[in-house]
Amino acid sequence: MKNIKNNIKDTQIHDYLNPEFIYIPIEPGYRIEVKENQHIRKEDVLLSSEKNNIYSPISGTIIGKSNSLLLNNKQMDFLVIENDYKEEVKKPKGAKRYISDYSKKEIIELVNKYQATSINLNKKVKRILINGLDKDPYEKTRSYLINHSSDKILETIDSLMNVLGIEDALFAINNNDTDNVINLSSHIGTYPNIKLKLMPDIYPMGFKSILLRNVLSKKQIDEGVMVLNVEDVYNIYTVLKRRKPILEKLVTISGKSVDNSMVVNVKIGTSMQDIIKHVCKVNDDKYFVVVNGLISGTTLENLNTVITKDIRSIFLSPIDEQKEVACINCGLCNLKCPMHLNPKYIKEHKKADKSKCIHCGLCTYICPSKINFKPYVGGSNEE
Amino acid sequence: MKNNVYVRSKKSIASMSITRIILLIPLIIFGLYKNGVYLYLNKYTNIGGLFKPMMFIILGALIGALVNIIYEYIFKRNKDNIISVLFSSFHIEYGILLACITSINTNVFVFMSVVFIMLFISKILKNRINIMSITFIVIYFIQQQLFGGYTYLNAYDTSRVFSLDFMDFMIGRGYGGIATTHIILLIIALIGITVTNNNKSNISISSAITIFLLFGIYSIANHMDIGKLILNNSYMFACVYIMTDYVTSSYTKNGEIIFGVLCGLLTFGFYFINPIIAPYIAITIVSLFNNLIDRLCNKTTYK
Repeated sequence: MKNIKNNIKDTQIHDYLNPEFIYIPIEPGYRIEVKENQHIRKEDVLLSSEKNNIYSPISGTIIGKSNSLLLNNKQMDFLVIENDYKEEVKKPKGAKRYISDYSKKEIIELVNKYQATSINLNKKVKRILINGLDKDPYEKTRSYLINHSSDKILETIDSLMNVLGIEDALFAINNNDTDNVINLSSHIGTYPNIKLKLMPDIYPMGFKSILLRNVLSKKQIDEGVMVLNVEDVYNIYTVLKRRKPILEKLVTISGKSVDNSMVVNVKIGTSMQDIIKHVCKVNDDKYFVVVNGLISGTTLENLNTVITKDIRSIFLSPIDEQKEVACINCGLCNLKCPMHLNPKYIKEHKKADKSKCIHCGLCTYICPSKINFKPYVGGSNEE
Repeated sequence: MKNNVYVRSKKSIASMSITRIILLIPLIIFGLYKNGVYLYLNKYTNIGGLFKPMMFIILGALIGALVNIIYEYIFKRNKDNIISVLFSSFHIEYGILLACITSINTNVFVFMSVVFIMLFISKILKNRINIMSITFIVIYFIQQQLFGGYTYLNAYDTSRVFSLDFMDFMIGRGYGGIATTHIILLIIALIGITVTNNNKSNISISSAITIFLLFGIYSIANHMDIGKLILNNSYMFACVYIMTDYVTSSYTKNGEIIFGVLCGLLTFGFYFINPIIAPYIAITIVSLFNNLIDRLCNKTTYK
């Protein structure tokens, strides 16, 4: 456990921005806006729907459709683009110098157009809570993003507050994340309305509902609060300052089967197989692919899938082979559940209400009998 | 695809058992001194008596280990390594705890045979009932039938009449099992197993409070010493280590409290029938209903 945690010693964000091919999943409701063999520029519209568009992360040639890849373990059609490595872009559109120069309407329009965040910025709230804590203890994505872009993140929060009329902002980070504590403490003085909130290094503090409950009182939550994570804030910065869609993503790559764990900046639509092949040293072939956290994440059938906006981390790890034994009635799952659910009861009663479950996986992690509760607990993923 | 698990906490039956046993060691050392070394130095016993308490503890642990080995290797044809077989259940801890609550006057052969048979039955029947308390009751009756009585008093205690005050009980001069009398060390053990999440502390605390309140009222009404009533006969040890047996006690928060209160109530009730086995009868009865208590508590939560 400690080995993986300490493995990410490299403080640099690595780039893998020139894959040979990009694969864009053609989800239901989207219309293809390009033709086979058509030359496209970066940021050109590839797919469109009533709500939004999907933009090309590279310039190159449309090869056609392929159904050889998986998305969320389901086979689906992908639009394949061959990279010409020229990064041709349309003429830059008129982005404003300062975010605060935009009106509220313009910000909401741009954020929705380029899908910087799924959070509704139009909601009237009293305060804003920035989640700078990584969701999984083995992820470093948010921590690295703060470390490398703290000035941009703080500027965006301050400007958003001004434009959206929000009184006060709380920036929650992990108190064990020394670099970021020093980094933010030295910069935050310029922004008197943003308060730094140091949170204990406890799992699952990075989950929205748990963080909210630990930072604000019930009264403060009822007064109205908007929770954005640092990736949302950075995406908003990119959209408003550069007036371009979100085409890149930070991803943590780690796990027991990876020698050199790191945080990589990749293009959305890059094949996971390509990333692992080009940036990682895999020491053991008998691994499982887990995305978005070793404790709370999802197991993929293989690496034959692509980076999407929702992916924060990829772990290559062998399965935990500790034998499951009969429940000893210790009650630790019940005691430790952050949502005050009873996983043992839920496992034994299919009809039990599990809607509050946030999929943190703590019940499975803590169980001394090594029972896997994951297939039994349900609910909805909160982010 | 089924979601698997790639990281686990280090908590296991072995780690829980070992932590609970380690925190029991100071109590065992005091028990060895009180019921062995002290008696030998003051010529109340011979060299065999010096080692008798230690023999009980070692025998308890060995019987627990043997039950697990026989069951796993011979009955279940398990091919796991010896460590995982030894700690495949809490039976080593059960053996040690039974040695701790047993009187120093117990016949070693009776102890050995009863503990082995009872632990083996519990292993086969997958622990439906608190095996430590029922085993103690069986030992108590066999000892009484075969040797004419059962007492916690060792050779030194029986040689004179004491008037013990509160502090005497706290430093272990009260009457009880081989390693159950030192209340201060017991409180330290309780804190240790609670802090390390290796105890159902709600049971310990609620049962101890119930016993304190009921015996407190009784002692005031009858002008009796409350210390003598609740700090003798291993009542507090039963609250901390015996009632909280993981497998046969309630696991929900409210269930644990109800379980502890019921154990306390019944202990008080059975005190008037037999003060020595009162807590063990109470635990045996309540442990039969642990699932029912949890079910009722869950019904309230998930109604």
